[in-house]
Amino acid sequence: MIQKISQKKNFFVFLSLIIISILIFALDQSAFLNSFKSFLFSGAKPILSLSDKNLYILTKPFEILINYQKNKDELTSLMQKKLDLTSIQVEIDEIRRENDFLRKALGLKEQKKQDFFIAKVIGRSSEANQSVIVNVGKGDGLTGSETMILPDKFLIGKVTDTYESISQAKLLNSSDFSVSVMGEKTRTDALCTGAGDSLEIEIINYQDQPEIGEIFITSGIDGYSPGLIVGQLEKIIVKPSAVSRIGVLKPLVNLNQFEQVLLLKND
Amino acid sequence: MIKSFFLKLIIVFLAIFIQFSVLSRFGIDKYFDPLFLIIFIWIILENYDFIFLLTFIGGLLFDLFSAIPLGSKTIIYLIFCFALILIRQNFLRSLTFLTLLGLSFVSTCLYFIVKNIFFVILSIDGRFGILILIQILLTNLVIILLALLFKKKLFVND
Repeated sequence: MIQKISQKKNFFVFLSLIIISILIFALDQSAFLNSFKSFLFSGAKPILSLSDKNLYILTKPFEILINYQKNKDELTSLMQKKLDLTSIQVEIDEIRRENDFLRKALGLKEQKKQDFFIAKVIGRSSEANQSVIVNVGKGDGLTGSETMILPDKFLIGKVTDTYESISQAKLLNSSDFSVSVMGEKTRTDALCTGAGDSLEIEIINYQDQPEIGEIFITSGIDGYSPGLIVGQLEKIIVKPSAVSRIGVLKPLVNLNQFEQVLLLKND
Repeated sequence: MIKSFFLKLIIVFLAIFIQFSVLSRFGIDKYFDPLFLIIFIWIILENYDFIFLLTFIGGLLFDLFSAIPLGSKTIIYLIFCFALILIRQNFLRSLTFLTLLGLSFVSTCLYFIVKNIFFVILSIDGRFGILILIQILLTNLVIILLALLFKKKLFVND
């Protein structure tokens, strides 16, 4: 008898919670729960910040061990690239000086510098949509349309939701992230979308012939700042029945291991 | 009773914390779900006190930190929890190592397949293929390891 009552009670609790969950899910679709989420995030922020700081110290040695060989190879190739880049840098400096001189001579105004925020990652998820939580929010001046980049102009995502002291951002490899890109050398126009561990680009124009290994950057036609590095072309898949070609891009930065990001304000 | 609730609540918080701070740092949070494991263990041990409420809180926290619509994972966790309790109470009166293995395999298959179908329907990046296989195998491996570790306490007939 007692067991039956207990089972009935449990079923009632289950049913109530399912109804509440469905209600929450429905209300969340219309951004009705933003203040509730903001309140929850405010409470979670100190814990997340504290844990992230301590975990960084704890997990760093393991990360070094796991990535030792990879880092060693990367270091060798970077040393070589550094040498190549030094000579390019000298040329760029020379062009910049010449550019400044010509700007002054022609009376052209300096380009408006973009505003940005420096934010720290305090939580991340790659289980469903790849996303991160950063420690700046509406209170700091965020509007919810910021582009998330790493120093050296690597695009890594965009802010999707902002709360009072915290924001959520979707990463570049999230399936519902898309950005208009173009090949750095061949100027191939394409639409880039996240595909789990890699990125996919859809090349519609058959006259475009992108090269394997080519770097793809943002084209700037869809609101993102132009020239942000998105990834490197690994392969092109051509399906006979398909209208467009699909290219696979490899992100040039590790999307699981960054601590600080820049949030660019979009105009 | 209240003390036990808060203790369990701390465990739920810890699971969410491990998911979003530790596992995500190594990129393995998409293969393994600590909250699933905790719910599974409580049901195996027939520890049903506040289980739905704790599942609900855990699910909400999960949704909150993973940029998916609030309530979506909560519904999956609650349904999984209810189904597992039904199986445990009606079909698995006495627990042996083999029945635990069977239950573990069936529940992980059910959970990960249902979850990914649900996510595909809601367009929240549901994934199939090798990932789902890794999710099922990894979770089962952890359950087997835990079962072997606590073999004497868990099984009566073995």
